[in-house]
Amino acid sequence: MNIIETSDLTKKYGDFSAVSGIDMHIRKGTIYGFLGPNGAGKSTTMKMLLGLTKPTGGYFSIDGRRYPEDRTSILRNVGSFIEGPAFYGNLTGEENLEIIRKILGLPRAAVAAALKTVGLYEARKRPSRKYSLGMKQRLGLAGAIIGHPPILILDEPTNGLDPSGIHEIRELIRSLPKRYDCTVMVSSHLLSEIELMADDVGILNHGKLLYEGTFSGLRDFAADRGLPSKDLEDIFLSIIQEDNKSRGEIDR
Amino acid sequence: MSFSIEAKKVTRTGFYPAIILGGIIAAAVPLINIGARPENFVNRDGSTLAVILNANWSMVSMLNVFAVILGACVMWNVEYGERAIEKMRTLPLKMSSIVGLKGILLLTMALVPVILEHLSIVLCGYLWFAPESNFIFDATKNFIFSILMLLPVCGVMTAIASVCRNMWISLGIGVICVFAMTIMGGFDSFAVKIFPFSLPMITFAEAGETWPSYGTASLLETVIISIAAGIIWKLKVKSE
Repeated sequence: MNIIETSDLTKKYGDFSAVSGIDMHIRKGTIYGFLGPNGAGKSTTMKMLLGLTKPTGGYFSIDGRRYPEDRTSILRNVGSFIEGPAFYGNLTGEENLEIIRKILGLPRAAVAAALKTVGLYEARKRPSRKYSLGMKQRLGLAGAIIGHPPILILDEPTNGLDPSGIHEIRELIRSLPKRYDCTVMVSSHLLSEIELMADDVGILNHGKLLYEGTFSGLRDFAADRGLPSKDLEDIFLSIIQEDNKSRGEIDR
Repeated sequence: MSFSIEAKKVTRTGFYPAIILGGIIAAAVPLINIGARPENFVNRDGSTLAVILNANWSMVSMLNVFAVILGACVMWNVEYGERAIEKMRTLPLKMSSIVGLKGILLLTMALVPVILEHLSIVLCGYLWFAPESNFIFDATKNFIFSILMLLPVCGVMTAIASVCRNMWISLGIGVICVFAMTIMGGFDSFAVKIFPFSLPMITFAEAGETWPSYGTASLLETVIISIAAGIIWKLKVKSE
């Protein structure tokens, strides 16, 4: 069963198409890796799913709910982390989460639980503007997972983290569907990272969804097109290059 | 979304101390001005309240407007500074409720200077004048009228600061409007006097029998500004 579905979802800024008619299918209880080079349209797609930007075409549904009529209900069930951490710098980590907790109407214990999950409990009383980049990133993640929402939309959540931090957050994301019975959509421009976390992958380039499915399916997809099909990194790069090439030919 | 959340968001930003300090400074104006040279005021014609207000209210009201401008800029700077507003927009609440509650918080805090100023005015009356029997009653009426006159400036500054990512732009717009207010203060025209930044300069005594007109203008402006802010935010979200 798909918990997130998009149909011909499009976002245009004047003549520029940031997202061009994508049809995504995210299975319930899985981790969906949303992969693409910088500027491919990953963040724009995620922003549309959260109602932060309005689609210019197509539609989507999240757990059977449609935007914009079910906006509030969608947001109540989706935890998100978009384009880096967003918080009140003058407040402590704990106070930041307390605001989110009150808005979502969660029990008091939810704040401590979220802080402990991301490893920020010890630093909870410090002003968040004094946090390191990695700590800010963790605070952003805590704001997404607080209250264990059934759907998580995470835009490049490991950006700015050191290798051990990346590993820790990756393991955390990996464990979320089992721990909290949730579905995770996570974006990255690194296949190696998505490969270690995701069950399914969607590859986006210049706003077009080039591939969607499992990793084994991705190998078959590449083989069918005569592209290298052994190393996933090579597969990803060759799919992108092929698309860029065809785009260049079309332009000419 | 509750008022307490909006009040919490501005802790440790200097919002509360700045407005309270501004209120103390504004309240000190009549005490210092009249206390330093009481002979210049005690024998003037008119009621005690009218004499005190005529001598001080333009300066006091300007400080009030500055406090409102500063407060609005600080309130929205915390939203834009570390992109907190982006997080708020991913939560199940309406932007209109955030904007509205910030406007109410600003007005609530603007009450502090106005209360302090009226206490100072009453103190001046008893220290250096022989106040009439209706002095306190008139001061109370002026207090309520002053709050009413502050509504549009609180609304307009909340709206401006809410759409300006850069705090300096909203601060600049506010300061320009204050200058415009001081320039237009010389015109004896109702249309000019109801400019949102000019209204706080009007006292109840000055408004006289036309006070309902000023009150209606203030309320109408506040409603229009609120509707305009809602439309601007809808357009802003649509354009993203």
